[in-house]
Amino acid sequence: MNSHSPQKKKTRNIRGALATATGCLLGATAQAQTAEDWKTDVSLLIYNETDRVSAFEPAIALKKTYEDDSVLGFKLVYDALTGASHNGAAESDAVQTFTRPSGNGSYQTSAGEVPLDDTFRDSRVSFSANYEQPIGRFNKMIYGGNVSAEHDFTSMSGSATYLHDMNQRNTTLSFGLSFEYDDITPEGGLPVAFSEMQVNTNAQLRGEDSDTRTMSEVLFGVTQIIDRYTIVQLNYGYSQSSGYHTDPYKIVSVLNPDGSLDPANGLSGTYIYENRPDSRTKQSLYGKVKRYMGGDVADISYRYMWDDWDVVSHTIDTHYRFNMSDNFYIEPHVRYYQQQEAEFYRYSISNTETTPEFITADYRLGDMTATTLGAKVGFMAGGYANSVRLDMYQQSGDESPSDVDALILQYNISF
Amino acid sequence: MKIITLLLILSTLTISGCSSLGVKPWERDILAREDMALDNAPMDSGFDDHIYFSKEASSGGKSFGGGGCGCN
Amino acid sequence: MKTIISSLNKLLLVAILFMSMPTHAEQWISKFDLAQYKNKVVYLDFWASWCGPCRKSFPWLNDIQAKYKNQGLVVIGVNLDTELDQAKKFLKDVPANFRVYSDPDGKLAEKYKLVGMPSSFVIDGKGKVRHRHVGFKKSNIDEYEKSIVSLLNGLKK
Repeated sequence: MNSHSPQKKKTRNIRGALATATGCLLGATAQAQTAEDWKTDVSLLIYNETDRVSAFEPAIALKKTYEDDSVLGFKLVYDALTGASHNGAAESDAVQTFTRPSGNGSYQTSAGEVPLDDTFRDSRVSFSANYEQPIGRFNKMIYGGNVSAEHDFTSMSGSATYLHDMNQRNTTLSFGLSFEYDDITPEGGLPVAFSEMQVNTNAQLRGEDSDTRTMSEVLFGVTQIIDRYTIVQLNYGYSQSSGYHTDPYKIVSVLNPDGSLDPANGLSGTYIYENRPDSRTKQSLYGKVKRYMGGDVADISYRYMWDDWDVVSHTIDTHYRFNMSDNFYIEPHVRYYQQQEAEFYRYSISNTETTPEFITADYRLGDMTATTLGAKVGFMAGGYANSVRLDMYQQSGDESPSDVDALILQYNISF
Repeated sequence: MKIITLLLILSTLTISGCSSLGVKPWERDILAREDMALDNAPMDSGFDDHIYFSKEASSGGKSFGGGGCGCN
Repeated sequence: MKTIISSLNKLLLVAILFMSMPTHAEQWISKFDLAQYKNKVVYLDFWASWCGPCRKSFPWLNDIQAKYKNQGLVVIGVNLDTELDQAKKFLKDVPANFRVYSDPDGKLAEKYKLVGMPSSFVIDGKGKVRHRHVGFKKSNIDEYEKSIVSLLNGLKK
């Protein structure tokens, strides 16, 4: 059960510091590790959408617990993205031609196909560090920092969270603040809102090279131990962002009243660059229950999120871990997500209507449901905890761009 | 605002009203298990947060994660 | 006949005990009675196999038991695992060279009103609790040791 596997003892002397980290055996207590050793987690994620984006993401996380119970952690994630992504335009029964975001070159979408920009290629590096500092027996501070960079996007963030234990540690209150600064430098410059896409031999209407966005967030939390087998968590989050929220690569189809393409600017249709509000206020309520059930562990969480763009969403996420033995578990996973569209979401607009103040045809802001079904298997190999998980993620909405099928495959090793 | 009030009431109930809730310090054997940690697979949840953040209009709520991306 | 079998049994038991001696340095006591330790200083340490800091405290407990044994220190580790097997498994990994007592229902823990794990009580020669520590921090070792030494000095010679 929660004992320390003999494997751990055997490997410790031979493999030194790294081996000690296997204390994180399936079912072993995390605290059981000898202090002053680094615990290392290495993961590889492969994310593959049918006909669209593929991602290859290796990650490494290091964690060390010091004698005074403070914890220092680092994490590095690399993300290589390739494939095609929906450009925002509506599907048509005619062939459509689009100009690439750079303004150089073009691509075509066949009749009856979702318009996908197939030049999508990016890599992202993200580095984060965090430090946990106990203050006396009942208080703790957690500080976090993160930097990530892509060729057209840079993000920096920092956070501080205060935790307070009470009722003999059966209740923990937390209060956290975070701040994020993003810098957006799109390929080809920032498109002017509502400007029409031009054929690639024409000049595109572009504004500045870059813009910024900031976000502040507060998070209040309560965790409560119910009994020997059950723990409950409840959070309320409030976040406010301001600055550039538009996706610089997304366009909206402007169609004839009968839904046919309206040729313009040397292209077979009319497409305007989207425009989103320059601020967003999001709130969320999150609850999680985790329970030990005769050797197995079940958890279920629910999040209700709403914002001033009129997006409202429900997320239910649940795992059930069958502990087959001390060294082997099988954990099925089900997630259900449903969102209500942003008030300025439109699949396309008509050339007879006045253009609204804000508009996006990004399906990710449209009505959507998504389900994830999968399972994870954990086992010991070579004295290390290994796990592999496979999830099937399926999105669907009112229009064809929302229909996305993806496979998520992940392998973890803990040293 | 209504929801904040509800949350406040709820948390006050958890903290004060239910003194019978919880365990004695020596009854934490199950809760000390690694698989009973609230986030017992941080690598998985890190990836998941990133995937769902870039594919859906919602994010956050659980804890402070690893920052944004240009994908949304 | 009966007596022969019973003495054979005893012999076997002793043999088994003897053979397992080197791996099990701890000494399980079946009864906890402070009256037994009159004019001794008792260091009562509550622990469990799942408790991380408890693991860190054992080498130190072994040290002080060895160091102050002749001056009258008795270390007793009260184990709070609900299943004794868990405790025994733990002790194979982290040996305890002192007395251990199993309190699976937490009766003693309740009596001493534990507020955290591990918890230690330093009891003087008259059976009175004179110091208590919650948790185990290497940086506080000197303080723990001082509390023991001061009581040892107070014992009647």
